[in-house]
Amino acid sequence: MDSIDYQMAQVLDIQMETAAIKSYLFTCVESKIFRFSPGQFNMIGLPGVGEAAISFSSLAIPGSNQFTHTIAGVGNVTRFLERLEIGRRVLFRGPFGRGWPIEEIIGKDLLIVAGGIGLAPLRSFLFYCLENRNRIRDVVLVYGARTTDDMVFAKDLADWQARDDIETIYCVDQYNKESSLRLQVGLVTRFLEKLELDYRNTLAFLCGPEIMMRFVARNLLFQGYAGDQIYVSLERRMRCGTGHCGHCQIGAKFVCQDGPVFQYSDISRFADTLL
Amino acid sequence: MYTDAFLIEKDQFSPWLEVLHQEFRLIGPIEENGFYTFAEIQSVRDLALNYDTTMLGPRKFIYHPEEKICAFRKTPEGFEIEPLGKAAPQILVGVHSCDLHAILVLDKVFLKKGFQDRNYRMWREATVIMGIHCTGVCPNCFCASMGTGPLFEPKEGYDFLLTDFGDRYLIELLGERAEKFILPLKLQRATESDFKKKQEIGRKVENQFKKKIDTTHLVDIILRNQNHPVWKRTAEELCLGCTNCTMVCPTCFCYNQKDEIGFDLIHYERKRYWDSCQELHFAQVHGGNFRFTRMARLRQFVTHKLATWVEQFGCFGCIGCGRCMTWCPTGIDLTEIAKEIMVTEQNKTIRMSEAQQFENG
Amino acid sequence: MTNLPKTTFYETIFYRLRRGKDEAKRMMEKRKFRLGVFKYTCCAGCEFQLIYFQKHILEIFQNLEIVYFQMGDSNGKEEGPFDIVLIDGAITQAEQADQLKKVRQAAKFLLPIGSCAVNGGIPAIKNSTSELEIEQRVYQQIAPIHSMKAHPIDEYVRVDGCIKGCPMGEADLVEAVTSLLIGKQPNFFNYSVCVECKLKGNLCVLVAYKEPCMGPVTNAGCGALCPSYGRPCYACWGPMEDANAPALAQLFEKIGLSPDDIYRKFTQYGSPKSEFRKGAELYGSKT
Repeated sequence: MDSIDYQMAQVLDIQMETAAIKSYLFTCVESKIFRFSPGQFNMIGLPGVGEAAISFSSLAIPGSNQFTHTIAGVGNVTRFLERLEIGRRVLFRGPFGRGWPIEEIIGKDLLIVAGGIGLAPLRSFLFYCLENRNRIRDVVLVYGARTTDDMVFAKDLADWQARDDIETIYCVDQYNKESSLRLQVGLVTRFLEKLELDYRNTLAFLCGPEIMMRFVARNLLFQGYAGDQIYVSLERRMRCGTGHCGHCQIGAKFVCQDGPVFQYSDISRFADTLL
Repeated sequence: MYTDAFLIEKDQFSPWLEVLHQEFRLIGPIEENGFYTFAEIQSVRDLALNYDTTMLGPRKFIYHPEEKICAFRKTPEGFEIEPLGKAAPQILVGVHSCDLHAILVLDKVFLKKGFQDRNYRMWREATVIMGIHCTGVCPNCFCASMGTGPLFEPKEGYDFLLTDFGDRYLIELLGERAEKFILPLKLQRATESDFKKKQEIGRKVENQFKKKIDTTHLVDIILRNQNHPVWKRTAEELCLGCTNCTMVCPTCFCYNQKDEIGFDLIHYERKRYWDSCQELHFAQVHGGNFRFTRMARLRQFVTHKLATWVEQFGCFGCIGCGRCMTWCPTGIDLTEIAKEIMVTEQNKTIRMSEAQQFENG
Repeated sequence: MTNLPKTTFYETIFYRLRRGKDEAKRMMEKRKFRLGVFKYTCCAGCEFQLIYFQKHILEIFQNLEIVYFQMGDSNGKEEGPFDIVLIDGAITQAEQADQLKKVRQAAKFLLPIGSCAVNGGIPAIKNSTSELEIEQRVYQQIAPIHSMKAHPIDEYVRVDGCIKGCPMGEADLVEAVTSLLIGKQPNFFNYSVCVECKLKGNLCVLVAYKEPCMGPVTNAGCGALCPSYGRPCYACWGPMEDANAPALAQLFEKIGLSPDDIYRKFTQYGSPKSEFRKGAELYGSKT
């Protein structure tokens, strides 16, 4: 494949998640089918502004060309994307990267820890797990956000909390508003030790601020998890997504091609990460 | 793949290049203000094939410093995209063994499985490469230590390979394209003794190297010592953060993109240009910078070239040309950094074995 | 991460503007951006440069409506309001600072242009000498003169990015105007001159000819103008972020420059900037 295979996508729907975060439902303009796996990402952008790597927050529907991105307007490109209206078109390249290890999860307990907008790439993974619920054992979701207002995917969070085949722990640093969800106050690390998971048969999936992943991973290692049982999804600035521009390199790894999902033991051995 | 070797008289060589020049852009080393540089050649007479080293390697004619990659036009339906740039057939003459290796390294980066870089592939395919073996060493080069010279061993990456025999060249051919060029010349085929002579030249050069580095445990040693004081000291006392090392490095591949916006807001052009990990904003993300300190940036460069590249691409990122230390204003020498780390390691082993002896009584 | 870079002001301001209703209205009406240009202590070269940009002058002024620009139009409205204000020159008088603060309030975006406004520039050379001595050297009657040390604009008011250069660079100005048009953050040059110099394939004058080139610590944008003609860079664009001036100053000493020369090199442009001051202080007074 070529490094500059641009495709066009159209905004079908926009969903407000929080004051600063929106989910966009896109559809490919030129192709009828668009396939991707949970944890992968697109380079999405507009001419004149540049491109940014955004992971999928929805699950690919077989035979469909639709996909969802959840975007917080924080950088040069994302602030521009934030202004998109329904019907507008953007350019994208993708899907890129290696997603969550969906072959590995069969017969395992799953611990999913997300922080803030880090739930976006894990949301598609959770959908996948729930579709294949009978093939995996316990699923625990620990989700932390700064305040009640910063919690994304409110409808999904409520759905998951209502289900009895997935255990949910939602926590906030500051409980600033009444919420229909059952919330606890504290950082995600506070709730990890009380989980009744057998560390020998559990895989952990982390996504969130790198500093959060650092402490969660260390907590899990302390509990007895091995480094290769913990998967982290990393964020780096990238220009190409194809492993050429070099911006996203961590040691011997390209986050865009070898990642963004890494085994903790595989990536934490290099310098210049917070892990 | 077709391989063959001939002998070509020097009197015959220049006219042959002149003939090729009519069809190709000819690029090679020329002398400019007392320094050699790779440039497009107007007349074959300007060619300085006995050059020592250049500041920028021949990489800049395959992987261009600045390059427009595509143009966008806004339409009511969205965007029209047009890839930009067309490669012109060109011959790179006089590429040393280290730079030939550098091109092989770049091939691994840009032409790997999965995704290929369009512009690099285009120029790479349009380029005929004529290598030449060094007959001497430069003050800063250490290709013998990195296994990239003085003789070019791999049977890939070049079309012609010259060895200077004084009055004539040994010319080795690789591939059908090379055969087509050489056929009209009716040259004398090289014999076993000519290859022996070539090996002899290589051995002679090999003994002249002043700079050396032991690469046996280099990768482990560098990766083990990511917090060695040498990084911080060099970064604070010497490193200017000017990016010269990465700009002149023939294997550095990082680039950045910038969009040029037309004032009509309809036409846009995306260009890319060499970027450098020594630049402050290189690893910046929202809310932070993963290599905020100059120390981390310097460490990234040296560690990448001497250690992590091996896991990434299966070879060293450093091809031992010595350009980074030659063109560093303050003369930071990555072999010196590596050696300082090795000395600490050795002292550590000695101390440990002494302690063990002491314990054993 | 211990050292977080500060969020630049233009980031927050562009963000606000994009959400502003008047911005949407402006887009509907295709109203031109209201431009103000103010000049303080400088040679006015940047103002002149603004009307001298031959390559893009038409496009730039097609998209800008001049509200206040003394050199271009003498009937300006000083009180604004402005969409974009360009400030030329350093602040050396209290009255200038007062006016600057008023302009800031009337402006959506305020960008210092040129080295004097961005770094203190040439006027700041005087900062190492006492005010009285300088006044006596220049004026016969010093009674009506009330000058202060020269300081860049961002030491008095919030700025939304800066267009560096002496005079300001065209590439950065075009980037600022086009960014304004499509409503994105401008990507100004933020690396060293060495990058541009190498991209052009110039021979390094510092290494090859031992010329005291300031390129390694100077912000890019000029297209490595001087080194392209074999001359050393003299830092007219001011310091690059995180420049290692002490190391370069020590290198100059090795090349054979006198301490005075080194001090002058680092105070000629941008002496108020900490990056250059670190280099200058090794070889000169600390005032």
